[in-house]
Amino acid sequence: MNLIFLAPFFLLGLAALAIPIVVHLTNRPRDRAIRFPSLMFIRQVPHRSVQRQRIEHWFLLLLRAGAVALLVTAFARPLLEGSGSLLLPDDERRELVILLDRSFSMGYGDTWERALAAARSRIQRMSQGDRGSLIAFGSQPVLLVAPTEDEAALLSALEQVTVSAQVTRYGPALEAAAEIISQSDRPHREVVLISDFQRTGWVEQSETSLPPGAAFEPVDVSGASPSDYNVAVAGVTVERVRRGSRDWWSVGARLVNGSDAAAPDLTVTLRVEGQEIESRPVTLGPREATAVRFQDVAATDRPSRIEVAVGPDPLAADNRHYAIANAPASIPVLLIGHPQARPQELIFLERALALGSDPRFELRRRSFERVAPSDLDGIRVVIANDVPFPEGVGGRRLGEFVRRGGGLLAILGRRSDPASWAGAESILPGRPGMPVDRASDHGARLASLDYDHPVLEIFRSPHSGDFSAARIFRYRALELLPEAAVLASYDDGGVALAERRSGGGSVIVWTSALDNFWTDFPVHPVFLPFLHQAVRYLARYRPPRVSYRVGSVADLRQYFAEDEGIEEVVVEGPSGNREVRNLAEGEYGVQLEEAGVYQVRRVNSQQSPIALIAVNVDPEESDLSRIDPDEIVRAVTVAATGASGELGPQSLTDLAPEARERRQRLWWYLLLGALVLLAAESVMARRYGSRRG
Amino acid sequence: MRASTFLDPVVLARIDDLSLVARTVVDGFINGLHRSPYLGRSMDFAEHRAYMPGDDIRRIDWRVYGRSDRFFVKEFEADTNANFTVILDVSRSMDYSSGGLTKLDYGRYLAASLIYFSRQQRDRVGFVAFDSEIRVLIPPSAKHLELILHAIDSLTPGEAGSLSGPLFRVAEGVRRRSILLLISDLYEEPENVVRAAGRLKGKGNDVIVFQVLDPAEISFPFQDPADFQDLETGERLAVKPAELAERYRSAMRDHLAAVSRSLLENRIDYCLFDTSRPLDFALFEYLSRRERLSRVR
Repeated sequence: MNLIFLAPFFLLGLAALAIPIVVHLTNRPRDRAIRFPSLMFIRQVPHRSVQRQRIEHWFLLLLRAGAVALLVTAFARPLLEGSGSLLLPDDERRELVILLDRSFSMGYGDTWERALAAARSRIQRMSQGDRGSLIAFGSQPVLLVAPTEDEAALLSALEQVTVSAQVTRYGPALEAAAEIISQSDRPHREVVLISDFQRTGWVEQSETSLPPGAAFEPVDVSGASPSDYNVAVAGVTVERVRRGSRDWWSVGARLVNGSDAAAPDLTVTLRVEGQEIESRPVTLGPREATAVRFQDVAATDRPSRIEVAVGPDPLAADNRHYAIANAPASIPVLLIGHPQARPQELIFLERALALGSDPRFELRRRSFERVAPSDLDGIRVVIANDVPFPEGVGGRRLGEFVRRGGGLLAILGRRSDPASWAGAESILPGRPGMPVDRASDHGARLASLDYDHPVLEIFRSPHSGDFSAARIFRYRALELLPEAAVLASYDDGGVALAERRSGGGSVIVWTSALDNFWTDFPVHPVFLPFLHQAVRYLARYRPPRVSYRVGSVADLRQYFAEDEGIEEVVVEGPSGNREVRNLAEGEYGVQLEEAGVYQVRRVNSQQSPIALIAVNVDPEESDLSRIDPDEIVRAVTVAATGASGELGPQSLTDLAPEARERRQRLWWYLLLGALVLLAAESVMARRYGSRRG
Repeated sequence: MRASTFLDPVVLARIDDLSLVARTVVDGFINGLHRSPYLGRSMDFAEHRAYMPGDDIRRIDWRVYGRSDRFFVKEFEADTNANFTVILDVSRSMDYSSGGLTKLDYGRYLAASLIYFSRQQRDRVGFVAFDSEIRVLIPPSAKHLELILHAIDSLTPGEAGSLSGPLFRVAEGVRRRSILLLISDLYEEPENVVRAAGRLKGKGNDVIVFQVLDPAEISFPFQDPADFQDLETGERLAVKPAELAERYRSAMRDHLAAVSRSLLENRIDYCLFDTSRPLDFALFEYLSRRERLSRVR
């Protein structure tokens, strides 16, 4: 067994052995002169002067010289050489993790082909006994092949991978690789990252780091040159406007050049339902953005696909932006009134609901005496305006309607007989009581409102609605039930607005009338938005989105009500992939992974789709600015190399940490020996020093 | 007084305020005596004077009243009007310590304590600090206590010292019969010491000499060969202490004996202190000297 040194130049430090010898010979007495008040008596005594050039404390000198020698030798990193190769361990099997970036920016030119070739090359270089795994990643990593020694399986999986519509995120992919590496017992562990190294994909705060000893090899396959450009449609706006007697779609688009080169000779095109409406030339300077507004398109009452395309450029994925021009939504509302009610008692309610445009309120009227179960078909919200609770089948049906997701707004006036409403106690927030007259003290005021509730949330900010101006001269007492939530109270503590949720729906009770007799609330500005918001809330109305980003989840409930009786739908992706969603089992979410337009249809139906969902790539990925791969190398291998980073990533592949430590363990003992000698030196020096005084 | 009540100089050194050190030493010393703080106050009758409103009626001499039908009060003459001056050597050699206080610090505490003590006895107090020249000179006065304590507190080691020049100048400046206390390490030939101290005694002054030395200067405990450097001159001598220690101690003993003998022959009180001795001892020494001087006078 031979002894060699990894850093032999440190052995030059052995010259430092001369220092303690010189110190012992020359510096000993002079530096330790004893200051004494007077040499008067010493001078009187005849004595011999001390001979300086002689070493007195040989033991101390040996301790010091030994400590220096051991320190120098330790820094020279001695290595015990065995019979076999010194640097390579006996077990040379590798653990290889290939991280393949498949974000949509990899579709730039022939970048993807080069990435596949690089991955293929790494797989084919695997030796017998090596283990490999393949992770494709965009915003999220997907383990395509778990660690295996089967090279064919890796190559086969590689052929199946395609560019996704996701953005780049290196952090999660590196974490997945680190997990595989940390669980591996192989002495050689290596991570290969194949990517175009977009700066937007690297979050500097990421604390991802590979386990110590793992090698990290970045493979840069980006093909963009400084003169190449990339433009993208960053967003599309669709507004429904009315001109004359017709509705029109007004479409605008925002174009961005995310590169440092000018993008000349571009064409931007608007298509509606696949039909080209308008094309126009456009030019974008480096890092420039512009807005384009197209000519108006005649609106229809069906959802329409809007597509804005720009190009040409080497990266096609971000050249198209999709949006859905939705038909105006409407909320069917059943207004139950009293046959004896005068027109002026209903005028505020009816006029307010007639003003709704987005969504519109489809108002149907019924007398409380004639409410039939069929009246509730297709209805989303029922307003019981100053009436007794409907009796018989209609009343029972109303209870079921609420529990199945419908909304009920109960307005308690002078005709709201408490006895009749007692029958609806299972859905009401409280028991209506006798009227409370506040006319004598100028009316009650709304003193406390729960602005966290969705109905009142829009009035939260200052100057967005003054409820305190309204006067309520008379209201019905409401004895709250435990399930109720109070949304508003009068200044005397009486309940003004309360809600109770029953099953899938809810009931809101307003304890005064809306007729300008019991209260002047309807003539105040806050009345209209309040009523609209209450009806939207009770109808659980959510405006359909124009478009989504890739990676989002769309909630199918916004496209149709749960009570429409649709149990299963088929969601067809832009690439034609179909997926059945069982709504009856609550499968309302759709993961949107492709850019384009998703179609939602009834199962086994050839009719037009019941919903269209537009999905677009994230424009952040269109910025092709690169990050230096070494930056990522430094970040992920810092734990392995230490702060100095002296060891390059390739050198780390040579030995597993355990093997490397085993071979170099000697320097620890040398360092320990040096410390022991220094401690002994300290004790001895102190002893000599104290003797000397 | 038990030894355990003595005040360790090292402990006193931890007190920053010099006046507090002096008070601690003196008050502790007085408490230890269990005697009047106005020790030495005379009760000798001096004269009668007419009673004035505000006078203590206990001091009215009723016999005189019986005879003369007038109020007279008795007045007593105090003998504590002496001038007391401490002459402190602040030469560089005093800035030596083998572990505890330096000789200079010990001398400062000693001077402060004695001055404070004397002031308690109504003496007028003065202070002189010198090395080869006079560095501080505060003439005796009943009002100079705080000034002196501040001056002592501000003292720093001076240059190489010499007794004769400064002490001659002090002697010339003494206008009134005084008690002069010299605190020094007396690193001069005995005849020089006696000549300088004798000059102080010239005008009938009472002179007390306190020689302050570090224990290491007397016992010379050094063993290993080393350079010895003179604090005042900077001169270095490479010596083997083990070989000369005994002869050094002998020379030192001879020197101390010669100094003591010479001073006593000249009726100058002398006492040797090493810096490990409690400061209370100095007060005893001083007190005993004063008592003896008063008997002689």
